Amino acid sequence: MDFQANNIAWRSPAGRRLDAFARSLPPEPKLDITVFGSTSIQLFVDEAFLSVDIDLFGSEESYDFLLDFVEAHGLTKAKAAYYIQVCDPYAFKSSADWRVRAVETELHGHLFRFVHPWDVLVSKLQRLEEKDLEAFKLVIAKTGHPTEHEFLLHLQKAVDLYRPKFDEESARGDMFANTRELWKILWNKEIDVRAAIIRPALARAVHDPEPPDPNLKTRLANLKLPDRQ
Amino acid sequence: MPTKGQPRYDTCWRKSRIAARILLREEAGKLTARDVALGRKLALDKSVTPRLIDQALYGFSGKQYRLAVARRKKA
Repeated sequence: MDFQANNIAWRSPAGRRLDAFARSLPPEPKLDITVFGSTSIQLFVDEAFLSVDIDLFGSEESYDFLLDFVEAHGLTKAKAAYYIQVCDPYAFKSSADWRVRAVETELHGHLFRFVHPWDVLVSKLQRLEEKDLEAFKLVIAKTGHPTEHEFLLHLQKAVDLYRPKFDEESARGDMFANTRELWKILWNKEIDVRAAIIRPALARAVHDPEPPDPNLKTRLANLKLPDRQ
Repeated sequence: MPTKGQPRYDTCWRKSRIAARILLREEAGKLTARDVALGRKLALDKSVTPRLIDQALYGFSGKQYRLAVARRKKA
């Protein structure tokens, strides 16, 4: 997989829709739009990978503008067969450093940021419905990656997704159970999520493993003037 | 910048840096009676912690201090 801006499949359904969407945006305000979900997989891995919508979000400030714009141009779920879903920036949860891997390109004067397919897979793992599982299988079949080890390391960067959820989030999937399920299906193995993902990630995140010298204050308390010759 | 006459919020860092300077002078054999008195006073101050003194020592001496720590550990 060549995950670079010059390899975006602009002729795919998502590519054409995004191009038309960007062209129809007014030049001002300059928008910073992140595209996530299955669209990245269609644009970088397989043009035939179908999705019913394009998930995207802008900055907090442009949220209302984008909602109104999509509504006014008939691009919402109610009005378009292949619609644009404007999401809140908090809707996308993935590895901590997903922005580092995202590809950015300017499109008709606006910045578009595409989430790396592996980070899309991490976000899909939180739900892991049948279509999410198909996305895993497709990415691996088409690119040979991520391997089991690569995805293990990748999930360590998303360790916070394994923390207990708020009661209000209980409708979302269980990352522990989904990870175990994924390993069984893709790699025909059991995985100990705590031992393989959580503990190594937490160990790496320890800020300062070396404690300070505990004798510093004792030395201060026992200071003596040097002998004068 | 702190306002003159107002209480400061960084006294623990400032005092710890003074403590670190005194310890460096001790290592250099250049302690004065004033250093000894101040050092003993700072040793009793709860806001002056080994962590902050350690940070100040690293800040003052950088690599040189780390090497000295490594040498002391070896010895």
